[in-house]
Amino acid sequence: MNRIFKSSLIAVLGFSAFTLGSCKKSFLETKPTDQVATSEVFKTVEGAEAALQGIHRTVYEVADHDAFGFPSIALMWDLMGEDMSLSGGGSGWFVGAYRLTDARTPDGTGSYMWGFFYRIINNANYILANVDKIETNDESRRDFVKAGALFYRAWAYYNLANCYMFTYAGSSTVPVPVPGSGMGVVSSFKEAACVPIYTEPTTAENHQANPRASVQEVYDRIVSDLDAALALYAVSDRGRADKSEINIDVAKGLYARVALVMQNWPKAEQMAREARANYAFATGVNVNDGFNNAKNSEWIWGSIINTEQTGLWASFLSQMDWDMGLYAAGGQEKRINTDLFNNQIDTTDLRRAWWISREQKRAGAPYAAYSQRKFRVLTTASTAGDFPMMRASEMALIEAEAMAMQGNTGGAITVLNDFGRTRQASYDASGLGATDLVKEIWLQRRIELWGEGFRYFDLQRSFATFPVSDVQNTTGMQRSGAQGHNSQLASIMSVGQYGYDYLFRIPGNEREQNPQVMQNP
Amino acid sequence: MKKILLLFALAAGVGLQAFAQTRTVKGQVKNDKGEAVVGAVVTVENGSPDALSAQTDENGYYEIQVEDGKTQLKVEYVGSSQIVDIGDGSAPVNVSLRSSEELEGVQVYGKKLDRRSYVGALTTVSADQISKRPVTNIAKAIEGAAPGVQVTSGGGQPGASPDILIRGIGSISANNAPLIVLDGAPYSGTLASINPNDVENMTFLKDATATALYGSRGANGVILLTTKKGGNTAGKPRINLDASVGFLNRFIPKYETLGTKDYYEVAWQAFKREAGFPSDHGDASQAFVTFLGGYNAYNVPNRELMTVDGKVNPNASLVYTDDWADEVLTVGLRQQYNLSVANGDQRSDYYFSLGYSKDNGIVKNSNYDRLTTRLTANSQVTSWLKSGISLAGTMDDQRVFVQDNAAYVNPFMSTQVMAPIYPVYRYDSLGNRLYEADGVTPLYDFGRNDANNPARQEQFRPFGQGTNVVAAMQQDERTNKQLTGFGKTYLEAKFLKDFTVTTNFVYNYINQTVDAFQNYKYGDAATFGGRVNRGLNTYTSWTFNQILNWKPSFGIFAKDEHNLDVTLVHEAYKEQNRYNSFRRIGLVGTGYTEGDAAAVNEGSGSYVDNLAIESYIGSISYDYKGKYFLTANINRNGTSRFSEKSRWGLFYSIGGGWIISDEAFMEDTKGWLSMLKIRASYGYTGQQDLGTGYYAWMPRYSFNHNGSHPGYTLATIGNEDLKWERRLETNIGFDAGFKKDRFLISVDYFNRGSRDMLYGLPLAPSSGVTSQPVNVGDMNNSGIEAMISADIVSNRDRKPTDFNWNVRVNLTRIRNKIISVQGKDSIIGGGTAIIKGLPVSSFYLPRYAGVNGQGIAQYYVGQGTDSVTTDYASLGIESYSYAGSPFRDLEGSLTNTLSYKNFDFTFMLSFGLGGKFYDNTYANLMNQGYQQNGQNWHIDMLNAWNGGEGSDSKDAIPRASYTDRYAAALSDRFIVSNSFLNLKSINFGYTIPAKWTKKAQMSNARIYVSMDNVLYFSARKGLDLNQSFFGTSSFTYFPYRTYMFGIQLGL
Repeated sequence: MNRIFKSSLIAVLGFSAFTLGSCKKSFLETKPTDQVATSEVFKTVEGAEAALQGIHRTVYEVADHDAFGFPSIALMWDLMGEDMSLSGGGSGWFVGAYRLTDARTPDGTGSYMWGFFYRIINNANYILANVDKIETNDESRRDFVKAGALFYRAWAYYNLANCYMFTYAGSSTVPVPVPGSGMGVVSSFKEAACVPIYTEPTTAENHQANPRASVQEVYDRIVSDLDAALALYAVSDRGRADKSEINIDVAKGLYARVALVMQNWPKAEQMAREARANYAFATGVNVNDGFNNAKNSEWIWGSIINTEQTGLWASFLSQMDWDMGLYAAGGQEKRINTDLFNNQIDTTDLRRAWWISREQKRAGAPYAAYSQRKFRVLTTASTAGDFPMMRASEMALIEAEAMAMQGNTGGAITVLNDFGRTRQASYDASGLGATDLVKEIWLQRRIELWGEGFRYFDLQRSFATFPVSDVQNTTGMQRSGAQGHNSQLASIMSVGQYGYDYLFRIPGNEREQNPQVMQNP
Repeated sequence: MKKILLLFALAAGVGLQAFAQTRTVKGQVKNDKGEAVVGAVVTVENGSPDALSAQTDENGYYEIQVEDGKTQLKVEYVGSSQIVDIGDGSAPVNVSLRSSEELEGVQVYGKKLDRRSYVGALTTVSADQISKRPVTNIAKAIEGAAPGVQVTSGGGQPGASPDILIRGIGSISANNAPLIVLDGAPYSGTLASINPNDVENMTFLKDATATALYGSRGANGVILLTTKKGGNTAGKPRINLDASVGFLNRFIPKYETLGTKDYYEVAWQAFKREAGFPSDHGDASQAFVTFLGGYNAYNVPNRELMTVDGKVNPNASLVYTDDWADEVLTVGLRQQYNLSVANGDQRSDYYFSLGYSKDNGIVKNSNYDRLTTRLTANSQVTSWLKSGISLAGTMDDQRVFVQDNAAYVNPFMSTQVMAPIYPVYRYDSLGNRLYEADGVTPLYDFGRNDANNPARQEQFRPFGQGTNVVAAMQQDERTNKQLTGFGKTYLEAKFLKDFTVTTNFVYNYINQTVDAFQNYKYGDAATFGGRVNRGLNTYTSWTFNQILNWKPSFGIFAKDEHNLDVTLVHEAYKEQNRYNSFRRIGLVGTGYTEGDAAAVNEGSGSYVDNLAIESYIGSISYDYKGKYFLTANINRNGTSRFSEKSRWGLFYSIGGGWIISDEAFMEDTKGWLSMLKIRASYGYTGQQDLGTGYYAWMPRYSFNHNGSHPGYTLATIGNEDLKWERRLETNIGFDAGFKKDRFLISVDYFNRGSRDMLYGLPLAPSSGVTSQPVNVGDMNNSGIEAMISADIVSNRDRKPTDFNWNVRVNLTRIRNKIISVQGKDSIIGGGTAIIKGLPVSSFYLPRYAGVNGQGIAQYYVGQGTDSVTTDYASLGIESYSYAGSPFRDLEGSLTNTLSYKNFDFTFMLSFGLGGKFYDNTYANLMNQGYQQNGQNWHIDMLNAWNGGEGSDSKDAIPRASYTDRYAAALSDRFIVSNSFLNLKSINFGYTIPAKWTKKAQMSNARIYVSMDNVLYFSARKGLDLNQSFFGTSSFTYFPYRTYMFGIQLGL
C-alpha cells in the first residue's frame, strides 16, 4: 500500500510540473487593461474616431497648474499683452507668463506649449498614416476622421508658427535664425527659421528629430492641410455630435485666421463669412452667460469639460473665477486694462458686465476692481465649464478686417455694425475712414476676445505692414500704471516692435535631444 | 504566565521508546568562546526517528542512549549544528560547537547553502546581529552589515522602507533593487511587513553563482530571508518575549535659515531692486509689507517697519513668533512587543510568533501601527515524506503626508522653505491669538485674511496661499492601510536511492488601501466641501515549483571522495495587480469620511495588470574530498514583459573553490593559518523589470475620453525589439582564517558588466513623444569588497577571560563606468548625463562664474573660455560640463562588539568617502526671482552681494532679488562632497546571571539600551546625503534618532 501511495504521489508531483504550472504558450501573454495596443486602434473606423476624440480631449488635458491644455496657453498669451493684468502674485502660477519669462526660459507654460502642440501633431500623423488602411464601407466616416486629423495638424503648426518666429507678413532688420545659415537678417520673416515639420508618425523605428523649417514652409504645410481637410469635409456627410468636435465650419474658421496672418484678404474674408454662416451672434443675456457653455449660439468650436475631466485647481476657471475660491480668489484676479475698460468701452455696452467697475467695487463687490467676470463657473461645486475655441464674433471681425483691407469699407462697416449692435444697441461704425475702421476692428478684437488667447498673436501680427495706412504698430507692446499694471509684478513694461522678448525660445529638452534646432536669440 | 504561553504549544505527541541494545554516552557542549551551551539538543546521527534525544543542562552536560552500531552524534543549537564521532564511547564526547558553516535553513531551490562549499560571494546577517539594532524594519538593519550592500536612509517615515543596492547601480532606468526571496520564494511585499524578530538570518548573494538560478530576477543580487523554525528542542518549548519602549527625535537638523529680522532685511534688499520702488520711504516700507502679502510680524506700523538703511526698526518687537517646524515636530514614542514560541522534536516542529509595534514618529500624526503573526510547522509524515506549512499575516496602518516636493501641504517642504514672517495661527490687530467660537480651538492662518491682524491690511500670503500645513496635518487624514498575507506549503518526498522531489506553492496577498480625506472647512478642498479619495490595490502572486534533486552518497563514486548534487527545477510565477479608485467631493459634515458621505463623483477608475514568469533550471554541484568545489547552474527564463520575439532568456553561471589549507603541503602553516579558501565564479544573469510598467515593449494608446465620447491618445511608441538587460559577472575571492579563526578576512574582487541596459531614451519633444524604451548601452561596475573580523581580546585560544572584544570592518570600493551608449557618445537630460567613459548619473551642469558688477549670477559660455553670460536660458549643452558623480570611492562600516562578564556593548560606524552631491534643498534656499517671494533663504544670504565689495569673486553669492531668476539655477555651484561619517548605532546590554533567571524559571533574560542614528557629519548642516543613491535630495520625512530600552526574556 505504502509503496503504491508513494509511487503515485511522486508521479503526481512530477506530472504537475507539466500541467498546472504553465507550458501553455499563453501563460506568458499579458496585456494592459487601461491601455490599448496601437495595432488594435486602427483596425476599425470606430478606433480611428476614438483616436480623433483623444485629440479633442488633449486640447483640454491637465498636466500641471500652469499646464492645462490650450486654455493655459491662451491665458499665457493674453498675459503677455497689455490688456490683462494680475491683481497680485497669488500662488505664483502664471506670474512667469505675465513677466514674459515663460517665453524665454526652459520651464513654465511656454515649454509645455511646445510639447503640447507636437503631441497633437504626432497623434494626427498617426491617424493620417493609418486611416486609409482600415477596411470599411463607410468612406464618409473615414473622410471625417481624416479631415479632423488634417485640421489639428494645421491648427498646431499655426499656433507654433506664431510663437517661435515673428509674423509671416513682417520684415525687419533684427537678426533671426535662418535655416541653413545661422543667425542673419532676412528680407521677410517668411525666410526665417520657424519650427520643425513632421508629417509622419513617430515610431520605434523612426524618431529622428528635424531642424526648423522656414516660416514659408510651415505655412505651406498649414494651407495644404486645410485645403485637403475642406475637400474631405465637403464630401463627408457625417455630422458632429457636439461642438467639441471639428467640422467644416471650424476648419474654415481656422483658415480665416491663417489667411489673416498671411494677409490673404480675399481668402480670410470668404472663409470667415462661411465659417460663421450657421452661428448667430449671442444677444441680450447670452452675451454675458459666463462663457462656459458651448451651446451658446455663436460658439463654433469649444472644449466641453465635465466635472471628472477638469483639473480643479489646475484649470482655467480656477484661474479666472473668483467665486470658485481657488487661484483667482487667492490674490491673483485677472484684470482688464483699466484704460481700455474706462475709456474705450461705451457705458451702454453689454460687455462692461464682463469686468468689475470701480463703482461696483465701491458698492461692496467682493472682487478686485477691473477683475474679470466674463468667464464663470457653471456651479461653485466644480470647475467644470466649457472653453471657447472659436466664435462667430471673431469670424465677423476677421471678415470685416479683410474687407477693409481690400478697400471694401462699406462691406466691412455692415458686418461690424451687425456684430456691434448685439453688444451695444447704439453701435454704429458708419462713416469711419479706412484707417479708423481698421483701428476700430482691432479695438473690438481687444474687447470681444479678451481672455481667449488672441492678444499676443494680434500684437505680433500688428507689427507687419498693412495695405491700409497708419495701422502698423511700430511702438510694440506698452504697459503702464495707468492701465492698471503693477511694475513690480510685471517686471517688463514694454516690448518694442519685433522685440526678442516676444519671441519664444525653443525649450532646453528639445535642444538637448535635437541639436539641429537653432535657438532664438 | 508560563502556562498561558504553553497553550500555544501544539502537542507533538511522539511516542518515545528506548531500544534494548544501547550504551550511554556522556559529554559537555561548549560554544566557540568556551562557554557552556545550555539547552543544546543531542541526537544520534542516522538513528531511528523514535530514538530518544537529550538536552544539555545548565552546565552544558548531556547524557544519551546510543544504539549499537551508531557512530556519530548530532548536536544542534539555535543557528548551528554539528556532527561528532563518538569514538569507542568510553571517553566523554565533548563538543565545541562552532558557529555553523552550513547556513541553517538557507536553501536555494532545495539546495542547502554551505559556507564551506559555496564558491561565490555571500554575506550573512544573523538574528543576533539584527537584534542589536532597534529597528522596526528589517531593511534598516542592513546598513553597514555587509560589504557591497548599500542602503538609503529612505523616506524615513515610520513604516516606509529604504532602498537597497548590491554592488552598485547595475541599471540606468530598470529596477536596481535586489530580489528578495522569503523562505524560498520571491517575495513581492515590502520589507516593512516582515517582523525583524521572526528573521533567522539574511543572506546576501552577490555574484552570479546562485543568482543565475533566479535568472530574470537575480541580476541585482538576491537577499535570502529565512524565518525562524521550531527546530528540535526535544519537545521542550522555547518561549521568547521581547519588549522595548523608546523615543525618537530629529536626527539631522533643518538647514540654517533666516530668522524673522534677518528675513525682512534680506527681502528688503531684494525689494529695493524692484522696478517702481517708491521714492518716499514710508510708502516703500508699506509697499514692502504689501509685497510680502501684508504680513508685519512687528508691533510698529507698516510704514515704519523698515529704517532708511534697510534695517528692521530698532524699536520694534515681535508680536508673534510661531515656528512652523516646532509646530509639526513632536517627540516620537515607539513600543515593540514580540512573543515567540518554538517547539519540536525529530518528527515535527513549529514556530509561532506574534508581534506588535507602534511608532508615533517625530512628526505629529505620522503614527504607524503594525501587527505581525507567523506560524511555521513542519512534519516528517512518514520516513520518506515531509510536509509543512508557513502562514504569516501583517496588518500595517500608516498615517502619511503628501511628500510631493512642490506641495504646500508637504510638511517637510513647507516648514523648511516658508519665510519665518508668516504665522501658524491668526492674530488680531493687537497681536492676540484668535480662537474659534469654542474659545479653545485656535484659528489657523490660511494666508488669506481680512484686515484684523497686526499689519492691519488684507493678507495674501505669497507662499502656499489658502493652505496651512499644521492645520492640514490635523484636519486632513491620509492613511495607507495594508494587509499582507503569506502562505507556503510544501511536500518533500524521498524516493529510489538519494532522490528527493519537492514541490512548493507560495502565495502572497497584499491588500493596500490608500485613503486621503481632505476636510471641508479649510485648505485645498474647502471650495469643494471636502474630498474623499481612495485607491484600493489588491496584489496577488503565486509561485509554484517542482524540484527534483539527486544527491548520491554511495554507489557510483567512492564515499567522501566524490560528492555530487544535481537539481532540476520548473517554476511558474504569476502576479496580478488590481487597482480601483474613486474620488468624491461635497461632504455632509465633520466626522463622515466615507464615499457615501460625499455628494459628487469627481472620478473613478480601475485596471488590472498581470505578469507571468516561467523558469526551467538545472544545477550541478560537485566536490572532491571536500576540498575542491565546482558548481554550474543554468536557467531558461521567460517573461511576459517582452514581446514574443525576445521573451526567453538563457542564463548560467559556473564557479569553483579550493580549500588550500586542507592540503597536505599546508600542514606546516596550520599553526597560524586555520583556513584558506580561494573561489572564482563567472555567470550571466538578466533583468526584465524596466521600472516602466508591465508592457514597455508594446506600442500603445491610453484611454483619453472626450466628455462622454470614448477616446484614445498615443501613450508610447514601444519597442518590439526590446530585450533582456544582461549582467556578466566575474567574482574572484578568498577567505582566510588565522589563529583558529580568531582573525578572519574575506576579500572579493568583482566585475559586473551590464549589457543592453534598459532605458527610457529621451526623445526630442518635437517628435511628439517624450521617450522610448530601448536597450541603450553597456556599463561596468568593478570593485573590491573586504570583510575583516578580529577577536582582539578573546578567550578562544587563551585562558578564559571576562572581557571579549571583536572588531569587524566592512569595506567596499566600486567604480562605475559607462562602456557604450547606443549610437552616440552621450545622453544628456535634466542635470545628469550618461557619457561614455564616465560613471552613470554623472552630474552634467552649466558652470557658475560668480557675479557681475551688479551682483547678478553669471555662467560660463562654452568650454575653456572666460566668456560669461547672465542669460542662463541661452546656454546650450555646449556650455555644460561634467561635475562629478554621486558614487563614493570607498564605503564601509566598523562594528565593535565588547563584553565584560554579563555586560555587552556594541557600536557601529558607517562612512563614505568621495563622490559628489547636488544640494537641491540648499539651492532652493538660495533661490531668487519672483517665486522666491514668501520663501525663506539660507543664512548664507546674509553674505550675498550687496554692492561693491568682493563683486568679482567667483565664489560670490548673487544679490537678493525678485527678478534674477537664474541666481540659483542648476549649476555646479551646488555640488558638494558626498562624504559622510555616521555613528549608526550603539547597543548596551546586561544579561541577568543564570542563577537568578533559573529561580524565576527562565532560561535567559537580558535588558538593553540602544540608540540608532547617533551622530552624523556631512558637508553642510541639514544635509542628508544618504537619502538616495543618486546624490540628490527631496523634501521627505526628517531622519530621526531612536532611543530604545528593552527586555528580552526566554522561558
